[in-house]
Amino acid sequence: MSDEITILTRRDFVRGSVAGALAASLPALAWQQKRGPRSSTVVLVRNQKALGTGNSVDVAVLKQMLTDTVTRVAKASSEREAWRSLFKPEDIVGLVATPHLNPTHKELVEAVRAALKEAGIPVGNLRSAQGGPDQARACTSLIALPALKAHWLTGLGTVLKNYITYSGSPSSYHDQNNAKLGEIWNMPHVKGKTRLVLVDALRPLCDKGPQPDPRYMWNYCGLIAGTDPVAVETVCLKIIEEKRRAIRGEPWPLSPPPLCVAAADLTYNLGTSKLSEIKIERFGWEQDSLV
Amino acid sequence: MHQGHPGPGPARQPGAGRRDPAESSVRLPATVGSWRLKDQPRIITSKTIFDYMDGAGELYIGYRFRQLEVHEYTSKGTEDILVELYWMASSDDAFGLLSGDWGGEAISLKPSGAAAGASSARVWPRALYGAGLLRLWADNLYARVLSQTETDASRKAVLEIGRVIAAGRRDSPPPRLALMMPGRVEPSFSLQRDRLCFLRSYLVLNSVYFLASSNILDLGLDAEAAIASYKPSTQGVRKSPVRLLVIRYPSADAGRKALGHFIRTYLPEKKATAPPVPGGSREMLKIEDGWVGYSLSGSSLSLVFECPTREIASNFLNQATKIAGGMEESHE
Repeated sequence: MSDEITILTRRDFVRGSVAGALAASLPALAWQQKRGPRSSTVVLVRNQKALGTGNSVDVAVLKQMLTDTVTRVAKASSEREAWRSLFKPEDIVGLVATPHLNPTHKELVEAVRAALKEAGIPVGNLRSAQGGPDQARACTSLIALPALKAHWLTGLGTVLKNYITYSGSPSSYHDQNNAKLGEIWNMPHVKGKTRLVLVDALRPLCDKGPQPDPRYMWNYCGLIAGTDPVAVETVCLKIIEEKRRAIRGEPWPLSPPPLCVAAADLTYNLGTSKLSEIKIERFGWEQDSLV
Repeated sequence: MHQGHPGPGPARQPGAGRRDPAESSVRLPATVGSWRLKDQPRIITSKTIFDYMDGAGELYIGYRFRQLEVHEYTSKGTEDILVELYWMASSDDAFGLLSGDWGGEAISLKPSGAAAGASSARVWPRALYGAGLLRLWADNLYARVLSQTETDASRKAVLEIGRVIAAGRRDSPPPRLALMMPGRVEPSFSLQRDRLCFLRSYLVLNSVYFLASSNILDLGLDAEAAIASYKPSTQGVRKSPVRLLVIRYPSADAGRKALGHFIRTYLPEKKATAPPVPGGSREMLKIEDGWVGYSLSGSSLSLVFECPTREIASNFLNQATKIAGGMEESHE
């Protein structure tokens, strides 16, 4: 892998040449010539009753949302079948939630854990796997379980950033190197292990993240999921961008722009960042879905 | 023209903000409404800030950060209230943290009521409240008081805690660079007071106005900068604001090097003709999003972006040169 990410400037964005700049980076060249048409499916399930008074989670509603989500992702007829198509009983399944600063709702993590157990994955094989590289090494499969939020350093701090500690040197992916976050997903102890990306979009944060600022948080009451991390991130990005536009009444671009999303596609070949290549399957509450 | 300009403010006291932390401490009330203060605060330093807030620490160490005290208020059946006290090296740094977002309701935390300060074009609020979060600047202290779920009682408690934090602390003036930014630029551009940010770090700059994915202006803790938006008053037509960025480097040499870095990266077409190391330099170029201009005067570098015409870019640089002159004259 190249250690260099091209320096991108405002002018690249105005020219529309960001994709070209990212695609010109060294590791991208070999696979770009082979790539054909792509398509990914992202499932969006919402229920306005998921959050109640004081933004408390209605566990029963959330559990049903999870069932609806995973069965659609796996295209299965039952929840058990869905989970079993993604994970086998012998798998060591790592649940990679966001631990703090707008954390993944613990109710969602518990619902996933309970559903896996129900599907026949031994409790002893389920791990909280957020942390250093050894956490990923110890697992045969992973569920990325981040919460949806804008991030003041990377534009968006949701799916791709969720594995930053698996790099063993998170600071190497800060600052101008945040475009390289996709690289972590290709590290040997991580690559190919993520069977499900499940984003907690119950109460996202659309500015000033990761520190919580309630002015920019709202009850979206959604789960966003798929198997293509870049496609899921792209849908998340669209929701955040549209919410910002709604707040200001005019375009309010994320600053800095989330370079890591396009780079995950064009440089690291993790999935598609083109909305035109993403089929969004919507289920449930439709109002203000923003996507 | 330059209007409403207060001129250079009183000189900073040498060593201002370098107090003994114990001297600067805040005595928070043991109880506020139904909330009770937990016994011991957590003390976070620049070495431990990433453990406390991975991914957010860069914001604070992008200014001259000393330490963070984290206090918590708890109450049965309601959300906790989090109190974060960011002790900074100077009042300018604390102002800078607030200036990243002027949104919210301006709150007066002092009995006179003067501190809300929306009446004057050049007085920024010292405290802003919105949806459960109070942010305030009080001398060299920046504070966040947060109740994640807002109720009447939590709002009252949050503001009461804010008043205690601000009580007895100096109402230091905003950074001189912020005060010196022009209020108006011919022919019709007005400063958007709520879009002015004081900063030292390129990461903070990028969070306000993305320029490049690396530090192409050589910003750092020994520099100070202000970026502001200027909106044209043209009726009926929505136009992009012009951005004026003024940076003061620790030396003229640092300014020259930074300009060279900027030209090489942002204006590569200019590279071949850029003067090697002139004593002063001024140029305007038409690029993709309008006219960009720069002017180097001593240790001050001014840059203007997204100007609709060359003449307007020139007007901005003329105003910026006056700022640079004022800053050089009052060099501490």
